[in-house]
Amino acid sequence: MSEIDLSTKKRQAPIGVAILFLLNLRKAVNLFIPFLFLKYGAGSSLLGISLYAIGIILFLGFIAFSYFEYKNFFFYAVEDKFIIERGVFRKDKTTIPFERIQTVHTAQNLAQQLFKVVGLKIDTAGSADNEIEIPALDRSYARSLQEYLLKKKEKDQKQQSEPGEEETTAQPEVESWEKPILKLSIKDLLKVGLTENHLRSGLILFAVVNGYIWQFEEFLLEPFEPYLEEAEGWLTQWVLLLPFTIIVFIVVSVAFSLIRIVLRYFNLQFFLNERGLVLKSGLLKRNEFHVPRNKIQYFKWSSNPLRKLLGFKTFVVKQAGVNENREDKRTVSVPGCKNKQLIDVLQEFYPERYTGKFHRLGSHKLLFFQRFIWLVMMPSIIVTASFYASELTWHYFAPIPLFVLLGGFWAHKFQRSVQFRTNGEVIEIKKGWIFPSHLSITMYKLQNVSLKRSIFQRRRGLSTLVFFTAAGDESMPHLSHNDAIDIYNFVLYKIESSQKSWM
Amino acid sequence: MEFTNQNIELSTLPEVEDSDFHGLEKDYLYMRLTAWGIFFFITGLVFSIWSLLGSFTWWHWLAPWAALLTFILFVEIKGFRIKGYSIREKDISYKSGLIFFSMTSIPFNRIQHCEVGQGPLGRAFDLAAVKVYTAGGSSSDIIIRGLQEERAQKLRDYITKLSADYE
Repeated sequence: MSEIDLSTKKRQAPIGVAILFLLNLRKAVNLFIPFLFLKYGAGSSLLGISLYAIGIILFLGFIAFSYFEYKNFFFYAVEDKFIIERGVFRKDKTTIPFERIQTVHTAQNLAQQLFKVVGLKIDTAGSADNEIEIPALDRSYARSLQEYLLKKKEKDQKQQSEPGEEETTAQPEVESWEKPILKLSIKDLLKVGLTENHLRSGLILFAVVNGYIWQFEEFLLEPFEPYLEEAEGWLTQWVLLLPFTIIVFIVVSVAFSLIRIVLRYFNLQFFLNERGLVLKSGLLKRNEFHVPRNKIQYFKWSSNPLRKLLGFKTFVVKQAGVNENREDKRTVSVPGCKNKQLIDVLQEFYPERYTGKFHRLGSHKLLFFQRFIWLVMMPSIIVTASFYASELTWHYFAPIPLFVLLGGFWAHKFQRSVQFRTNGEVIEIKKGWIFPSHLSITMYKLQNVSLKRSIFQRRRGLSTLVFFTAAGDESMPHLSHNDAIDIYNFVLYKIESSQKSWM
Repeated sequence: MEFTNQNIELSTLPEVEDSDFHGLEKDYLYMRLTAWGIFFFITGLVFSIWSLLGSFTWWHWLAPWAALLTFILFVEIKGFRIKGYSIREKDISYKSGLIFFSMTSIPFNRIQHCEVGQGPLGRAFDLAAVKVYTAGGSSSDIIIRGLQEERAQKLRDYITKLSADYE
């Protein structure tokens, strides 16, 4: 790898102008849309300027803006810091000490693939939005820069921990190795896509489309206006339309999940190496994640009824700094894992998991009552009351007992599925009947613990435990209070007596 | 429950016990009651004016207002005795909550940093809060409110010194 020199200010690859322009294009289009509306929606004359002129002005403006953005984008290194300067109107200077760099990964979206450049993303310790991107670099240069930053980072972190020793004991070369875990074939990819939670995909799509589409409300509803005016009997029409709507929804949802999965996980390669864990995937936008060993906080895997049949699990690596529990772009998740692949990874990173016997604890019936009352009874009562108030016929009430019965069954199954287990080194929590999820944490990776106890729990001698990690928290509800206290004390003892660093 | 594969007995582990906990300054209770007092005074005043103008029946707001006042007085006074913190050789704990009890412990080797904070009311009562942060996100942090300011500073220095030993 050629050594690179960052002592002077560096710019991106010249083609970066085009990349930046494409990145800005969305902003330009968003700016243009209101004019379209003014012209066609509100019939405004736009001060006599033609729409084309506005378009051309915006276009040229954004080209100029992109050019200056490129011109003003510098990166360089001063002493032990990496610095990025950017901004056209408001200049920003971001300083990253090498030791605070967490990971450096490269990504390529469609535009970047087209112009044969890659984006370099630098992740720093701290909150979720601390990610900095250099959007356009030559592939080989990006590689060298990535290598350079990671090397610098390791050296600086070493110096910090053992000052004075760094020169004499040259970094012991860790032998480099690579162990492939999973390569997703096209067939498996399609299976994963077809067994995706389509309801969720459908709802995501619906939310996105819904948010966007109502900007054009006037145009959309216009053709339906005559029907909407005869509002009488709209309910029967709606009922007739419902099966049709459902079919459309299903088809669109399945198609959408397939597309999403293929785009995201095409040619997925998941492997381990001496540094940690690597995941490469993506069709139009190729993502490469390198998760260093110490950044891994815990593992979580989940499934759904269809995938259970195929033996597929989605494996998620929870890493420090990606703190949100919501879906994050940087979440490393590997779909289509079989049990064997899961065990391979866990054995590599959590050898403790395979020592000793596990002790299991369940969650108290209170969980069933809570779920049943809040998620089944409450909605049923509200729906019944509103049906009663609007004096509907008995047909409408008929499905309610069925819902209560099914809901009760689900709540029961859910409560039974919640399980805590530990072998004294690893904590594992299992939850979920229809969508089972499972997580595994070694105790030294924990930050701290919390014990919660409401008056309802106190009466039954129960407590809930919350385990905090640097990648989010996980809870185990309604353990018996004595067990909870034992685990609490034990976990504290393990954290306090461990010499291993959580990161 | 047993962990038979361990060479340590569970019963020999140190336990976080009630007796280890220190209560908070009595002034902190008075400070909280003052804050609530201000809230109830203002809401009472607004509703009274409303009623005097004749657009709100007195007992319509007075009954829930008084009920809430009693409830809050009860929770604050009874709950105050539950609030407390404990510092052991290797960790710090805080507990609180009458209706929703919660106890959190942070080992010193997991503390990110520690600071003292003081609000306007706190200044009037010479009270400050010690905040202990971990890498586990905001819900895992401990905030010990209701310490005399001087004591809070000392506690902060002590925690910082202890946690620095682990870096």
